Amino acid sequence: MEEIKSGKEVCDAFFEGLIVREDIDPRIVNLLYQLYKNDNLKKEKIIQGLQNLRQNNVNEQ
Amino acid sequence: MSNKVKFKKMIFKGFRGARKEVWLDIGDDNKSVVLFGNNGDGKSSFSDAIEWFFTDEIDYLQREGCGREDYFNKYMSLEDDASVEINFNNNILNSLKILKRKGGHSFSNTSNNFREYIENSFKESFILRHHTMREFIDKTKTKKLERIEEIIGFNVVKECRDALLKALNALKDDKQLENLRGQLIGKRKDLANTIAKEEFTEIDILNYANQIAKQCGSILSIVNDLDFKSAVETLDKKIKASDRGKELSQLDTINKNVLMVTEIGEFLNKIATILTQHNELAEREEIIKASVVEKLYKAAIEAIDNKLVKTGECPVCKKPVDTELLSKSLKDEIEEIKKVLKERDQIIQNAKFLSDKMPSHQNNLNVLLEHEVKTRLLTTETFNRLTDMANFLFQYEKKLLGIQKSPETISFTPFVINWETLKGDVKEIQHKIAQRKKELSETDEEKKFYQNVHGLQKLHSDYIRYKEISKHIDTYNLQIDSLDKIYQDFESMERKSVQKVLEAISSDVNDFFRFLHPDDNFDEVELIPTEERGIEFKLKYHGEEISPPMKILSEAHLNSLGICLFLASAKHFNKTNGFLILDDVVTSFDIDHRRPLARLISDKFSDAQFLLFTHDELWFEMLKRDLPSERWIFKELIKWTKDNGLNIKDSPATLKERIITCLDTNDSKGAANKCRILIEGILKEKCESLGVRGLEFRTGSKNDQRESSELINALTSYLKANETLRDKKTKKSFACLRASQLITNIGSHHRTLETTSLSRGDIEIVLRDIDEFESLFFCTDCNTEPNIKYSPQNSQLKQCKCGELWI
Repeated sequence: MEEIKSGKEVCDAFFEGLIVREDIDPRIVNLLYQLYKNDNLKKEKIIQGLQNLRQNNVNEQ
Repeated sequence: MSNKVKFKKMIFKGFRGARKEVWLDIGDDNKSVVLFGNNGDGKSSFSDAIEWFFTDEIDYLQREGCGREDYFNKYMSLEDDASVEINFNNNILNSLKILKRKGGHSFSNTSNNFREYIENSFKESFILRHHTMREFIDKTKTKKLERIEEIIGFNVVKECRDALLKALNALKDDKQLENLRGQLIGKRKDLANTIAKEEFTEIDILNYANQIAKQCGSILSIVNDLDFKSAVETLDKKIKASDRGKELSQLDTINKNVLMVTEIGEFLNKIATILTQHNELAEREEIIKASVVEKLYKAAIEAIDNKLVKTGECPVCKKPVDTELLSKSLKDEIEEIKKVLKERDQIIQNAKFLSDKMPSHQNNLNVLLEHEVKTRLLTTETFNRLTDMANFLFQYEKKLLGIQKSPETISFTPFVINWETLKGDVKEIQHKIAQRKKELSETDEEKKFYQNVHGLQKLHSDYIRYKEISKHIDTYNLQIDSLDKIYQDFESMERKSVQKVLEAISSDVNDFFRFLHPDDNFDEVELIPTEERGIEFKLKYHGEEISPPMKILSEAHLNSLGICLFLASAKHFNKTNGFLILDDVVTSFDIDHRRPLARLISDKFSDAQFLLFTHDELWFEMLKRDLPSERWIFKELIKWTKDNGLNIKDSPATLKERIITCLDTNDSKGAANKCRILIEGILKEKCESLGVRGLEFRTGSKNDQRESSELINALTSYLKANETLRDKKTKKSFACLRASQLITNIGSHHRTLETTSLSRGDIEIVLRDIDEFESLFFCTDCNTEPNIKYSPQNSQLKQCKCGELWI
């Protein structure tokens, strides 16, 4: 019988799989991965992280 | 479940029905227990104590409005605490838990292993009670899904999904994005007006710019953004190279700085406000300084709250003090410290923000105070006012740094200005600039040239801004698309995972349900996702799909489904605990399904430890016969009394032995009642093994209410139809059993009638009648009774295993 994964195992597998995805902006993937790994995947943190990415984008211009 | 935690012993006192210490000793071999007790004898006190031990509450009591004060035994001293101690097969998890009269509770085991164990156990579901069996089935589809997610520990998945969805929605609704979209429309309009083309591309703009640049004499061809920039810069340099051009450019620069003067006035006002706020807070300097001892305060509170120090003694200096008051006062102090520090943080942030803006404003004023500007455009009064402002900027710059360095008071001169005069100054300078610009008269050709260059500059500036805004919006859209994709993928992964879980549970629920109801034509019982976010049971009855199950299932069937779901989820998700507690769950089961349930838990959960509580004596006896004694022990509760509370003893192996025990203790009513149950049990068993038909169909608990007389009649009819056992001895034995059934029925049901009091002799005769009756059905050659399972299909008579005896 296939072992049923716990919620944490399911999330771990999802975010591990996310970092090798090539069809999504790697900076966003990395942001979410780091937030999840540090137990910080909260709406406010995601919004703040995305804003920083946009700001970096502007600065690069 | 073999490596999982199991019970060895539980001892509880002062808790619910247990006034004195009650022991449930299972021993070292992880056996399962069946505990029999009449209603009111305190069976549920065991499951209540276990539930409280693990969860700090007793859910069904909470829902009835009962609180922790109802957990204490009603007849114990109001000063005493209650306690529950559980010993497990893993000794390091043993703990005593005390329910304190004065509030709170404590565990004797404070190890990390135990804490972790309790946390993990909290996530598992291992107690099923009669009145909670249908809870899941009766929930809405959404609540069913939420419950399953809770059971399987998907809260973390739900939290991740919620965070992603909320972030996605917040990004879509971002005000800045909305603002950028508005700006883009505005800039597009400006560009369309300039090039006189409503629909345009970037190439249209570059072509138009190229055309204007050529008119200004530019030799560069504009085919890309870089060319455009070079052309604008070259033409700008050309203008500035002439004296007039230089002066015009200088006037433009001065004009820009003049526009900032009123803003600088407001800027100085803001700094003065921040300084005032800072000084007000500085008056509470002692609290800010106290923040360094915040940790000490917290440690003192913890020591007081956890009783690590003597009551009435200061945890720091050991002097006598009201510790309760001290704890409260320290908590208030910490709150106050937090509040003041938060305010100070805000002031520091504001000071930093203003400090960052300072150089730009100083530069603005410096440009205006240059000698040439002073002599040409400013009156002495205006010059003095602007000089004052520059001095204030210089002073305030240091004050802002002071705020960031120290919480102490800062002295400063308030900035006061007459706004009307300042606005008048600005207007006057602007007027002089405009006049001077006019004086620098131009030829028509020059005017045309300047117009074109300015037009080209504006077009370039609009074009660059348009591209910046577009790029910014593109970044937003890329983020929205990426986040949306990730969210969709996450949701799909979650659906698949839940589906997998549902399939696993469904497979077992179906398996268990069919095990309990082999002849009821139910099939493919499963939990399926519904269109909205939810799940529901679906099953096939005579091949027809039914959902929800209430449409077709009786109360007993629904309860049975509840048990199957509980067992299936325990099998898959209880990773820590290997014990399951079933508290009176067969109450609504009919006799046909009780035995299969006993077999189900015995066969399919051979690794699990069960604590099975029942008030049903017949089932209790049935379990004694059906469950292997090497894995099960049987105990019963002694009648509850106010003085002794509840008490427990080992149960004799057979009902006949229990009847003898009753006789030995002169409990003739108890003996009569047990005889009645014994006769009923024997008759039901005979009817079942011979496949006796002719019993009126009854559902659920009504089946249990069949009178023995009804069963004897059915059995007699069967025997007549089969023309066997018609001899004198048999007839006599049937008649004797009928008589025994009658007298025990009266003896147990009509207890108030004095005339029905039975003697020891009466009961012994009943037992003899029972033995004789049973011997009729017993083959001494093979030690079995005739049974459908030994007999040919559709055979009227049933044979024993060896075929010697046919009934």
